[in-house]
Amino acid sequence: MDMSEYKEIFRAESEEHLQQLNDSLLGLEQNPNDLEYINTMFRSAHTLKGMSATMGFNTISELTHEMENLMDMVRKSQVEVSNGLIDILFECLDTLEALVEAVDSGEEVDIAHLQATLTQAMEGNMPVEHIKNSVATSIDVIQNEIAKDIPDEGTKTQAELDTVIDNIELSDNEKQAMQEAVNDGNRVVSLKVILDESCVLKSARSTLVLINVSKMGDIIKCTPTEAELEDEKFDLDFTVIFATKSADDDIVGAIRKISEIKEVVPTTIAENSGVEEKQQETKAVDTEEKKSASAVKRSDAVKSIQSVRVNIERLDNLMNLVGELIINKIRLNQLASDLNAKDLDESLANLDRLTNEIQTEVMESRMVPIDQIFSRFPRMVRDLAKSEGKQINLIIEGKEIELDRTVLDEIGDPLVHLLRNAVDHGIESEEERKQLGKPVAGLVRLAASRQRNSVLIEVEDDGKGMEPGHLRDVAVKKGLLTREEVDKLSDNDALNLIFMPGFSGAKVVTDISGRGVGMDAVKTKIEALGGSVKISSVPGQGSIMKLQLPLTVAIIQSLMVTVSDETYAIPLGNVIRDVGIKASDIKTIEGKEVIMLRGEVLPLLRLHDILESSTEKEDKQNLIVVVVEKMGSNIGLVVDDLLGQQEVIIKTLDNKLLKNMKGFAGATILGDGSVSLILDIATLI
Amino acid sequence: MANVTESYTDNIDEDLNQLVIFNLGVEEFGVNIMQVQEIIRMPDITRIPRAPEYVKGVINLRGKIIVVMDLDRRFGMQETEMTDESRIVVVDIEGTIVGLVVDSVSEVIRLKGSNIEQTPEIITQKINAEYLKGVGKMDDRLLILLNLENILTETAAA
Repeated sequence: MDMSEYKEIFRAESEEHLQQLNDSLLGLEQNPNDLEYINTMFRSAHTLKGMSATMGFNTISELTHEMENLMDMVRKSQVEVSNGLIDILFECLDTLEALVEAVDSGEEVDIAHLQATLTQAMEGNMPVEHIKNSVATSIDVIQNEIAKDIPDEGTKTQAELDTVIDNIELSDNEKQAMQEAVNDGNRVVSLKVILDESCVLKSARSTLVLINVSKMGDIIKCTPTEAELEDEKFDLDFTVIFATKSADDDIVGAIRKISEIKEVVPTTIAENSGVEEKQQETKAVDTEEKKSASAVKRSDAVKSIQSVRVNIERLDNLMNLVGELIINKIRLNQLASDLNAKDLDESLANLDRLTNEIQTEVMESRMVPIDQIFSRFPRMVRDLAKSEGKQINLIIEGKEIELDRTVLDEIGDPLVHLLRNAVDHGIESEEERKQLGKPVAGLVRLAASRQRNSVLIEVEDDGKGMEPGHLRDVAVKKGLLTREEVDKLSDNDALNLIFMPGFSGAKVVTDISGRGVGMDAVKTKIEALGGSVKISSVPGQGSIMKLQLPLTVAIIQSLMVTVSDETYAIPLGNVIRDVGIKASDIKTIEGKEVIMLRGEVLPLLRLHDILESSTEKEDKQNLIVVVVEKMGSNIGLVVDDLLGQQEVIIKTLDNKLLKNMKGFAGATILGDGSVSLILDIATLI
Repeated sequence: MANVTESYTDNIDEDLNQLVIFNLGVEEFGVNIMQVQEIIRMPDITRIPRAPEYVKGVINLRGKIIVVMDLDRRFGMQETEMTDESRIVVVDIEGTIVGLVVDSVSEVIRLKGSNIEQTPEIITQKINAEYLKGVGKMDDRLLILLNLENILTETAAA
């Protein structure tokens, strides 16, 4: 039996549990009174303990066991939730992480010290001072409160009904209808439906819900009213009261089938007295459900999606194979048109459709929510803020946005860098903020949003911002540019100075940022992915970094051009248009060729020269120019011929021999099997 | 030089080395067969502008893009013309796949570790010693053994 496969699964699952633990612990730090967090943590730690014991990783199971003991004492209010406790638990999590990491290498991680600390903590000796806003309520009290929150089901008198549905007023008619329904052996259920935030057609969804509900029983009341629902005059949730004979599970199941529904919470509000026991049962189940539902809402990380774990390598291979398939499809298309084989048309059209669908499916299967990396940041920012003695409010938006796995893997480090910059350089110290009249807690916002064909990630802070003047000075001081050069720069261009290699905006280099991997590395990485970085800043008010990223990386639309006898692909994203010009219209400004086009001066570059191409067709009067965009300005590239648009599959030129080479995004294989290079406009010119 | 001596002693430990022997100019070279993935005829090679001169270009090897290197250029030797005999030796150097253009591939031989000696000066004058592991003596033939790892990473010119 191959253990390595199990190890992989163990690691993947452990990492999930650790993430859960981290999230909950952060939550607990914010809300020390909310013991639901400790409960969630307890469950995760318990699972981890079981898993590791099964796999024979005794150190992990020992440590989780001790953690469980401590958390159990917290649950029983024998130990207070204090800063010291939180720190110990964080340390445990870090150690666990290291232990899980070490599963592969078989390294030993010493936990004796931590065990001693844990034992001390259980004896009530926190290493750090206690804070007094600790937990006063025991878990029993909490449970009682939860129970109180839930409408007392199974009531029959109208007086009780009134108290039960506090938010919903019932008319006499409706109460009458409910009473009749109950007398007929029905159950009256109040169903709360919460739509997904991304839901576009809310009215359509709500109508679907109502149709489904009416199939299961008679609707008594709907809040907001049906008319209001149709007009989308509601936020995300609505409640429908109806009489039914269906069980809760069936109801939830039926409604869940509708897409874009986030939550369905059924509550029995009236029932025939004959089923007293069952009603108790339902109540218990409901309580459980309600509790877990609220837990889900809070941690937002316990997702039970029906899914299969697939090694990313498999997906990569699949993607490659799809690439091959598409190349072969193009080749077949070419052959068919060469042979003028009309009989093939229909089959080829089918093949076209199928390959497109497969491609889409494979792409989709590689998409993962950006939360997978975003979820690491609250902890990182917390630690960072703590070590800097700053208070940071981290706001994360759009974590459900999906990106290709490859893109996601690559943007982790750049984002870490940007967030560190924001906390380290952006946000001022507490005293400074007080003096400036800003809120003491600095605001860092990390937001992802879906654009038409890309994803935008913004990292924003409300710190001191960047002074173009200061950046100019630094560039001169570091010898990157001369005084004359920087003075010529617009303020916006001056901000872009931070992307120059060797530039670090920090006045004091700390051990956190300013470690040599500067903003230029961030920019290079993002551009390598086919994305872009933009920066804007208002001195005194903060900065925003905007990363524009492609949804997927592997396939791009390109304009195919020839230069001499070579074919190159220019990504369509860079191409503005193509124009034909006359050689006699070319003018020279400061020794550089330009042409007036639509009233604008367009600099011209000959791809022959850039690509060191051997032969150029001499005495050519009519030239073809591809206008491309680089950093906001347009440049004309003179090419020999246009071959048209084509989808190309990017294969990386990942090779040590080419590591210092710039100008090419990769290569692609054309229909005839030959290799063409894909130009990377950003680094080529 | 330390590097050369090291690999030289390494080789002595092994009883037999299986080598792929190819010709480049007037010399005979050998690479460990474990590093050779396959040997192919010259396909169309796409030039990479701005790449180092010893990078001949890229080829399509069954859907994979492989960088092809001109060994003679890498060694600072005269570039030889391509003939029908010319081949590309596709090697796997610590995970990086590279094609080496050679004049012809002659045979696979077994060489005793004890037959491997330090590279004589007459050869290191022509080819950077860092690129070599030593020479193999077989009958009256002198086989130059390549250190592919260094050929891939060393930036020093010959």
